[in-house]
Amino acid sequence: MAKDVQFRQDGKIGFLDFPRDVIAQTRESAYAAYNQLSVSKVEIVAMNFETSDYLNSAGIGLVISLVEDANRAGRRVFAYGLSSHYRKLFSMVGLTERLSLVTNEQAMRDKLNPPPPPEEPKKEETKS
Amino acid sequence: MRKYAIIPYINTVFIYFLGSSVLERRFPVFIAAGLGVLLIVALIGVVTLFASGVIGRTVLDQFKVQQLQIGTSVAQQAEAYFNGLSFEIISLASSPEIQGIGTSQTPQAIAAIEANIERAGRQNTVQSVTRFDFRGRPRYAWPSQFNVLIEQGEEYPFAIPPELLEQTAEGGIIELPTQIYRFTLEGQARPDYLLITPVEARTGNTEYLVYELNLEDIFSQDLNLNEFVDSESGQLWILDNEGTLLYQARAEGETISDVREAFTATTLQNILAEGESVSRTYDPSGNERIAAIAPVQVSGYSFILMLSQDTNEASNLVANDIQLISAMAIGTIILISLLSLFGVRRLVHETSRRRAEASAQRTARALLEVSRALNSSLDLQTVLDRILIELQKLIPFYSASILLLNERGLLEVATHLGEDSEAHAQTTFLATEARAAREVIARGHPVIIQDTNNDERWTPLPGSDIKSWMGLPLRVFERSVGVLNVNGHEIDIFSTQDVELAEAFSDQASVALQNARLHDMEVKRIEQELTVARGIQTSLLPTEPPNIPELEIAFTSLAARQVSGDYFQIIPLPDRQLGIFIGDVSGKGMPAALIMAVITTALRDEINRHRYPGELLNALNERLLDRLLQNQMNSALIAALFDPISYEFTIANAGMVQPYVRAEDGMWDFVDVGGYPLGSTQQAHYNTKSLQLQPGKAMVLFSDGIVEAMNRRGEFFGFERLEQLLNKVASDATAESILKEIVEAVDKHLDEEVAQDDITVMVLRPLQTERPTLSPITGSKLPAEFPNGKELLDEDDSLTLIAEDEPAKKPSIFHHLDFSTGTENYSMPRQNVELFLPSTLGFEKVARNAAEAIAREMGFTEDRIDDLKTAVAEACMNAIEHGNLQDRSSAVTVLLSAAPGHLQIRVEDRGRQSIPDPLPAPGTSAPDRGWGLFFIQSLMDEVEITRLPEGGNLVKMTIYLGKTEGDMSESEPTSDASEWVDEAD
Repeated sequence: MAKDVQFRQDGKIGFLDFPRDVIAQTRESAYAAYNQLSVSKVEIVAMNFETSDYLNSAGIGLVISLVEDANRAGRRVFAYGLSSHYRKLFSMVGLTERLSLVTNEQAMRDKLNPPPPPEEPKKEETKS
Repeated sequence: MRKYAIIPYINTVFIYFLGSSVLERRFPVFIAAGLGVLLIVALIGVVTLFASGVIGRTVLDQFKVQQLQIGTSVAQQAEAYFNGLSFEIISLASSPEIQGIGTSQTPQAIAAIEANIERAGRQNTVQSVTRFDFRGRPRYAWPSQFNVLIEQGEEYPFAIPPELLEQTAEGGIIELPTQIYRFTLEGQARPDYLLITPVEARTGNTEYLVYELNLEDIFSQDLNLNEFVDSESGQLWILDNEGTLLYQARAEGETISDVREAFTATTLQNILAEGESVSRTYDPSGNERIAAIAPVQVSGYSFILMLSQDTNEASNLVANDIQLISAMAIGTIILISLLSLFGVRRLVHETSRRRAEASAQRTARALLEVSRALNSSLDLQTVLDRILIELQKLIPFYSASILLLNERGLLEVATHLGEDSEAHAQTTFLATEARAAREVIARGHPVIIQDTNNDERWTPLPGSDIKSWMGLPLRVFERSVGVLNVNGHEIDIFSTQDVELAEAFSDQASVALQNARLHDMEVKRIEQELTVARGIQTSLLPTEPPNIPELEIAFTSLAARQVSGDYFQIIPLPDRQLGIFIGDVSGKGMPAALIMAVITTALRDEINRHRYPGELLNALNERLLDRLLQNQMNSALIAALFDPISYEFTIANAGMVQPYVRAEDGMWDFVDVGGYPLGSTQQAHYNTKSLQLQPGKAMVLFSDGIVEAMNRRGEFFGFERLEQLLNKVASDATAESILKEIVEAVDKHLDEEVAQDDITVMVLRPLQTERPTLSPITGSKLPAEFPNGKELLDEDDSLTLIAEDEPAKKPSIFHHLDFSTGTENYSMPRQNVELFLPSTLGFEKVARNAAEAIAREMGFTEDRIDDLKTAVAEACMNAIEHGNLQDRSSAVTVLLSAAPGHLQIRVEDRGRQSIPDPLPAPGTSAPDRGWGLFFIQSLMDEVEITRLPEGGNLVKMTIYLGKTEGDMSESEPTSDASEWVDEAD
């Protein structure tokens, strides 16, 4: 299982796929991935924690650093795949003020591109 | 100085010398003086004999020589006179007046002759001067009466000898010598003597000029020969070469026939032929005479000159000389003798003085040596024995002994030396016995008994033949405590000198005795003090090793002196840890023991605040530095902390020998840990070394007395021997047997030599114990990286993770997990889980999972379990990363205590870095830092952060059952979460 943060891009979205343990040692690969993201001039940063089951304080600190950097670059940040416990921790450290927590990628996309509202049934015209 | 009856020593005599006071001297001086007198007398005799014999003969011979010298001298004067006369006549013969032959020139010639005679003053010695022609006819003459004879044609009184005329009669110049001729006129008793010299006349012929000599006047007036005959019997004779007497002086009544005996014709001819003077004795008329005969050779003619003297007169003269010489010699000898005798007297005095000085010096030296010898030991019996040995060197005795008063006032024989040892079988004398000795003690002065048979004070000693006795008091602090007995085998054996010497000796002996007694008292006092001190010291040292199942301990401490400078302590600590200490105070004896007691007290106090060895030694050094420096002492100390759960030894060393550890391969090696002794410097800083010693390994702590144990060959036991010994020790050898082997090896090395330093050894041997099984957590989530007991650490760390299928064969990091029955050997409460985590990041997951398992067992909700897991992980991670600085040899202790209604988690580290107080807000130094403690405090119901006395950090967290996530918000963090801060900052 990969221990490093992977980068992938989809249009304006740059994905950072976090490994199982997000710890201090993750920092190097995380920044390497983030640099790619910067070069790609993505506008959206998507932090994928779907495979992560252990984030310690160092890992959360890493996320804070990345988010603050992305915010300064004017990028919007999403995070998804987190358990309720880590979402609680994200909230405790104030990350939820700087990123959008969503349940999954689709939720993110939906938030970025909200589906068009369902068309309202046309009302019949009445004669007067 | 005290006076005693003087009995002359057998080798002493009295000398009355030149009226001086009586001198007490030994034979050699008297003999020297006598020999000196005899020598002087002998000298007088020798000198007299020399004067009468050798000197007499020498003087007589000298007379002969002198007579010869005078004779020879007179002869030489005569020769000189006649040679001068010949020179005058030759000069005259060469003058023109004489060489001319004209008749008219005759007056000038005669005038010239007369002038010449007058100028030379020869009027009396030259009777006439005549000029002859070559045929012997006189031409003219001086004085005028002779010329008248010529002019008148009368017969001339003498003529030219025919042998000359034969040469010149034919005419011409003939070479002729100037010669003296004897000429005898008819009817004349004495011959005349003519001195004839040739004249080269102007006629071309050799003619003659003749001096007619008056020899008697020549000898008596011109040569004044009578002056040489100044003695009463002295005579002078002059004969011509034919033995005709020409002159005699002071030979009245004697004729030439009287002296002819002095020399025969042969002798005369020999003398004339050889021209040497001779000495002869002759006896002309019953009176022997001594004569010196000397030749006088002039102008082809010879005379004989003889000086003679009566032998008796010469002998008398010699005798007079001898008498004079003898008188002078005797006078001189007497004078010398007087001076010599005076010198001898002075010599005797000087010798006496020098003898006295030398004797005093010898005595002083002897007493000095005695003093040195006596004071070379402070052992009482040795001193007593030496007193007699040294006394014997000064005063030869038949026997000697020392009696000392005992506590009952009885005299006891303390020591004895001499031939009558059997007589001293009696060792104690009653008050009624040894009266003389008691008198010595009572008076405090010596007592002399020169004849024991006639002195009522003397009590005969059976088996002894003591004829004379001298008792000398032995005093200690001015009080007589005993008697020095000196026994003689003859009566009157002790001289004044002996008594004085013995008294001086007894004073020295008393001083030595006093010193020995003082020393004896001091030794007893010190022994008592040391006994007390040893008791105190022993009470401070462990007597039995503590009963720790995980560790076998054996120790011994052997003091080089009664009180040792080595010390050791084994102090039980909380959590069943054990503090182990071995120290060595500089110096030995009481001071070292007192310092040891101080250090032990400080050690037992400081360990309550500083459990970890490095910090403990730093604290001890700071606390004891001033006191140790003040006493110019220091102390080596090695401190070890043993954890029976992890088998971890943490060690710090302040100047002790590095301990030895046996590795699993059975080989021993030292542990590289060291530092300055306590009390050496304020800058000393001690670091802690950690090592795991699992069963099968062992450790030896020891003082330097082991390796520095030196045998009589000067060889140290040394590290090499120790290592060789340890490497031979069986791997399963008990601590006790290892200790025994070490001590025996050192003992054998010493080979009965006394160890110079204290020897302390402690052997520590970890033991395998039965551990509780891990069944309650079987199947718990182990980190995925370490499946099934994969080794976590290097082999040296000896800490392994137990495999699930080998639950009890190896020590586990999951100790004491026993929810059901617990373990009798342990005092921990039930339902505890204690973890020892290596300080490696990642192991926090082990604790996290263990906490999860327990919490789940206890019935916590999943949310709370998640909170617990995060808090436990964060606490462990901080302990690993900051508290222990990821030192893999330092463990993080995690104790999970399950109790009804709550779960308490204690996470403890070694405190390499301290948690700051107060905690800064998270994200202060950097946005991504400082969240760990924030989570802990936020997620746990109770959090307590403590700095332990021994230096570690303790994070104690509690989570309660029944509390919901919603309740969590009610729990306020005790402090703002923050990051770890380096203690150095």
